[in-house]
Amino acid sequence: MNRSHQETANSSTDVVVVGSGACGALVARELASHGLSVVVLEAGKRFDPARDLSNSEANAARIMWTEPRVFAGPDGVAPKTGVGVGGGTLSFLGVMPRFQRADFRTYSTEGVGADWPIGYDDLRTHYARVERDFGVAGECGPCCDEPYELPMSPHRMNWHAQLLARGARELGARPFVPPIAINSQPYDGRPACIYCGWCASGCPTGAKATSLQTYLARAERQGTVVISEAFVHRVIYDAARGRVTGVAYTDAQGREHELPARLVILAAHAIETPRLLFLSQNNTFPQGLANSSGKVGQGLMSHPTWQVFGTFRQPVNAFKGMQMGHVMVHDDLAPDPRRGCARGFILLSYMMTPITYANLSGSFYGTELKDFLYDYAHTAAWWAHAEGLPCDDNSVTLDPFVKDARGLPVARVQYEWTPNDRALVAAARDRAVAMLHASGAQRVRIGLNYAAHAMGTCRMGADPGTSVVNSFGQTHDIRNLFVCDTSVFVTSAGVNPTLTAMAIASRSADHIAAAMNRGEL
Amino acid sequence: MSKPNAESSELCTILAILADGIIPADERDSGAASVDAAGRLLERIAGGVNQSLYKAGLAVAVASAQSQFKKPLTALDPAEVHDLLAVLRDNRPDFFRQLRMDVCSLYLSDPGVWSRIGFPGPSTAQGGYPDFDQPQD
Repeated sequence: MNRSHQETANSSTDVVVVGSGACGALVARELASHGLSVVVLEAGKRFDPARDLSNSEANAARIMWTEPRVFAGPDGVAPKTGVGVGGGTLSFLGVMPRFQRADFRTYSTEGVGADWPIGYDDLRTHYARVERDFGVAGECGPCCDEPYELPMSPHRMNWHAQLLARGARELGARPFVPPIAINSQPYDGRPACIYCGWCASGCPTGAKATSLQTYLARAERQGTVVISEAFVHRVIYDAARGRVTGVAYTDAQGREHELPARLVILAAHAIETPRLLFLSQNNTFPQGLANSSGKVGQGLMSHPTWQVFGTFRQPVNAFKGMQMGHVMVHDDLAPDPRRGCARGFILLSYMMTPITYANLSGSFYGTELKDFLYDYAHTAAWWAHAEGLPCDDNSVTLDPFVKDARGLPVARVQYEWTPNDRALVAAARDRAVAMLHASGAQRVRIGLNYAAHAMGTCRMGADPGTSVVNSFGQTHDIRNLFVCDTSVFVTSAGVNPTLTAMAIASRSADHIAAAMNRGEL
Repeated sequence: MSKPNAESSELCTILAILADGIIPADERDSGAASVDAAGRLLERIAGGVNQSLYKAGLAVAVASAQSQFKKPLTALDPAEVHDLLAVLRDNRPDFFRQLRMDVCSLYLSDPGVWSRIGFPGPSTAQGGYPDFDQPQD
């Protein structure tokens, strides 16, 4: 950033975006391209991936959210929350499948979850736009109800994926190379992947799409200001006007600043976004800003997962390749009454650098762990990934006791898998086990089960009494306050959420730009 | 936990026993001890990293050894340490998880260990793995 905090505060800002990840960067770029002045505030640092994030698993810790949170409830949520300019895209693994039509209508089709106020048709053009602008390679897969093309050809399966695919085909599944935001060829000025396997550590080559190198780079060229190490702790509300008027943040030196803006967009992910709304409570909104419904923080969703490892007699060397998504099976996304539970699941290849391999192995130790570590080069892995259903009891609130280093209450995450979640992910795990045996694995080990991704804490809906935002991410309570991240999800679908969150944010950005240009916001 | 003294020496011994229980010595290598996991963990803890978590967890470990086996943790044999780690896993899962993660991270950051488990280390500077899609046997 070239301008000082004061200069930025003194200049006229149309839109302030809190968070520079997949969705925050996207809306910043889209709004800047409509001629609006935009400032993005990011809590983390700005990294140069080639210099700062090369070849070390320790780097992964630098770009992960490590501030304290309290995890209550029997099941932990382990959202891969990134921090740094680029947000979660710095550390994400890039798998970007679209949702299916039925994913937006789970209540109508299966009597579980809830229907979204939007559907696939509302997002189709936005999906395609994100796939083009962010850069996605792969195939849509054999089970899509509306096949689509991606801008880059699929990656070749690494040997690891070929072994996994062999077992999948043995059992009648149709494995394919899924959509992934990692270049299979030079694209958008970034190189093709060299399959070095350090995707989660920030990608040292730039082959993986991050917000930093795509949307933010373009936005900054269009005049957007990105302020790093700026922790937003309050959205400022003017009760007399019924509008938000900007945000308050703390800079890297601990100094306080206020940034006035015509419109505020929260894109801090499904845990920090509701936390910020709670931190911004006032006399008008004593339960948290924009929370007249009481629904802020409720309905936290995640994807129940199992890691399943298969060890082979011959070397697999699964570290050669992208960490996730050289192969996917989505034949089981469609509901199957024989399972005795609703919704569906996918399997993704997921193999990793050694420390992550150990961390995802579960809780065994001693000789068993050491044998497992020494099986590293001979081991393949499926990630069994199921849809988690929404439940209001799963929530994000402010912890009454624990404070962060600034003295602010931290997020308290209460989470318990529903019976359907447990049954569905068990079916996914068992399918992965069967496929690994069919692939010829000599030994199959069940690794860690955990809930991945976080969604749904500021749910969208048409009814202001039961939802926080409308289908454009606009809060029902305050017209110039928007949420653009996975918080707005109504259900979680069985696939990775980033692309759909970005497509929804793209739709929101179009709406915001048009409304602001009409003077309606 | 900041100065080398009798207390930190005892802590280091306790950490070494637990770390060796996580990744034990055998004919392949000396496990957690091969990377001085206990000493490096003690340094981190003294620097404030997860200090309260470790302090609480180690206190539980010491007390559990006494209540479970009627002897100090430092007198447990390897089989008893194994059983003690199971107690910690069940009763102090946060501490157990952190300990397991830290010991694994230290062990698996060592190029000697990489070589023994078949990981060639960072490859970006060498152009990655052009043979990624070829049979590996």
